[in-house]
Amino acid sequence: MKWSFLAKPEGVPRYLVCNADESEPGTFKDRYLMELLPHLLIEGLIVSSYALGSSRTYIYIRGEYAWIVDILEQAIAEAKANNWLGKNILGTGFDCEIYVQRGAGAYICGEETALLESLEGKRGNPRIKPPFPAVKGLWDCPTVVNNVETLAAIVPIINMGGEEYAKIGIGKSTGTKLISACGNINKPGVYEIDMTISVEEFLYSDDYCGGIANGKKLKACIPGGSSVPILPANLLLKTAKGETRMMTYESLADGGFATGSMMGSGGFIVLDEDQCVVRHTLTLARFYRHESCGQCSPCREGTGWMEKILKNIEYGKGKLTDIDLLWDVQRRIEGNTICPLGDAAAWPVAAAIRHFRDEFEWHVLNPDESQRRNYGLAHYADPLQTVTA
Amino acid sequence: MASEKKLFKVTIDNITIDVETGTSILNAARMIGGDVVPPAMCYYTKLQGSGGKCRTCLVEVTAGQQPIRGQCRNW
Repeated sequence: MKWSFLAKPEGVPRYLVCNADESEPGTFKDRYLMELLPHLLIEGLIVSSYALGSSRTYIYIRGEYAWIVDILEQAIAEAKANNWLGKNILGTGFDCEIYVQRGAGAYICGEETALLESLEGKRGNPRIKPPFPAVKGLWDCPTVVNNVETLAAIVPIINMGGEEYAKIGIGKSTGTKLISACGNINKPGVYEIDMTISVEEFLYSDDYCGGIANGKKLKACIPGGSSVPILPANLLLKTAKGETRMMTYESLADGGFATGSMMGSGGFIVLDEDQCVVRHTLTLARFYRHESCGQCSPCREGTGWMEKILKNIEYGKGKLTDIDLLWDVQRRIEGNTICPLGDAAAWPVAAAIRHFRDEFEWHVLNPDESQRRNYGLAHYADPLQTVTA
Repeated sequence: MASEKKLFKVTIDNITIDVETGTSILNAARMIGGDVVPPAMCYYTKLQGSGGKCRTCLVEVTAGQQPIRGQCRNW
């Protein structure tokens, strides 16, 4: 993992930073983890700090989670009162303090180097990597930045033993995963799954999402937060090879971006038949344009153009060449940026055009009609065959 | 800061030259000169920490860590 990259101590302090800036649309698992189980995170942080040799650990929490800061601070105070934090913890000679730092509403500060910049008091602009944070991170000292879920999972890993924990799940997808399911489903919420269930079971079984709300049919789904490719229903439930798609890292990524997606942040967004993919893509494009830090041209200009073109298409002023232009813009952003926000902005647009091109064309060719009704499930040649469970 | 005078080989567009450690790919290309030199915008020698932001100078690296590197900042 990232921990193995950490530079050996040479007189400079090392830091552990918990990335609690959960701003990815569709992801809210860390929120509930911190709200309901703050001590799980604190315990994970203490253990990790001990392992990494960090005596000052920071939790960088999203500014919008203001009430959770109070919960965390109270939990830290309780831990200190029991001598699990502070100087000479439980007589081991190890000191550790946890500080909670609020962010101020920037999605980009979830990127680890932008987070470090923000912690240092500067503008949250991502740094150029290399050097990586494990070598030169917070104030140029070796730093490890990990997500809330990762650090909280340390506790069961240690309690159960690494091998026992790895027995849960299949293949390389070991341990449990938190999925925040939202969208047009009957039971939205955070689910902890072992990664042995299929996507179909996750979506339709009453143990999990409980199926699509209001008796509608499934149209599309974004399995991992807004940055991962959107998948139409037929590719969601089965891979391109015809195998059942499972809720694992490997299965969700099966087929690359041509026919697959990614686990991503575990934000499972479900779209039913009444949702408009073009409008949805526009919402995401607006988000990414707003959240781009503006350092590098591909992202700053690219997100602006993608939002502009999508607005035209959505509101009936698009041209057929706009769709190709969108494809071209996203192609030039991907891989050419300082940080992954550029890729995260490009991938949803690419996937929407790749899988739902007919919907885009319908919007362009029928500007008046597209304002009045949805495209629905016309994308699927045989909707009954492919989308109902 | 004493820079090491050790030279090692770098191949850009099939042309190989010797450069000192710490030379950025952009400067190595400029040492070769001619068509090999890529465009660069935000790199200003006199300003420490400049460069790497505008992404004009991106190149493909075939033997190394990242496939696409900003030339003015990477070496």
